[in-house]
Amino acid sequence: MPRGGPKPRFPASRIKKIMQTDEDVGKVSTGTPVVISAVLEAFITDLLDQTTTTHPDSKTIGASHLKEAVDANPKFDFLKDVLSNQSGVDNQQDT
Amino acid sequence: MSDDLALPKAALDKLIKQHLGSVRASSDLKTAISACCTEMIHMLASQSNGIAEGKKRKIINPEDVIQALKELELEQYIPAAEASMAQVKEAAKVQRQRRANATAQKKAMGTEEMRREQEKMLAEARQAVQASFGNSAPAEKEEEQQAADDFSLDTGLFG
Repeated sequence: MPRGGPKPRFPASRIKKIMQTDEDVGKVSTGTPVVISAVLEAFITDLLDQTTTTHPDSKTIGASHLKEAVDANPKFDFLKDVLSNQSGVDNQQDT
Repeated sequence: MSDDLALPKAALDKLIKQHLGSVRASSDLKTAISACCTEMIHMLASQSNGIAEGKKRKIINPEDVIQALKELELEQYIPAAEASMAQVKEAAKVQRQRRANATAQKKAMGTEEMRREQEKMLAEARQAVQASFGNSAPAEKEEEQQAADDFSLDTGLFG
């Protein structure tokens, strides 16, 4: 039976805590953070793929590469603010 | 406060490393991805919370998350979500069945064990009585009486 891939699943308790920092969010079923963990895996994979395709020759990818990929993809618009708050985003390049 | 919580670094690093293979990720990339994940969780939480509320439910469930992905135009992550949801439901089903079986077993064993215990006690009693009366010649009434008394005291069967 196909799974989301190898084991790295994120702890449901942590995901739930992050969800509940939003005051409006109340109760969460036990399955919900598990499903969100799967979404996160797919999301991270997607981000990494987008980043590496825009920089296929880089041996090391950094936050600035990610930022470029995000700027180039409208589906990642919601990440623009988050990344502009990251320190050192503009400095790192592969050596 | 809400900014302090993030996914555990080790788990995230492992996933990134597994996916990139020989390509390396700088530490600021990992930090940035962690921040993106936290943002994603907030977005999904907020959107699915609204969906659950709209359906007059107080508990967010996986279906709400999938609906949220649709509304947020993140359909590309729906297959992963649905696969996970199917696993969650299957696991819940298996657990329910296991619990039902365990309860049924306990009930059955309860009756069975009781019966066995009773039979054991009766068999022991019978043996004890036979030992006192059956084998020896009914010679000493005192002895027999003593044995019977001892016996009845011990087991309380006739008491």
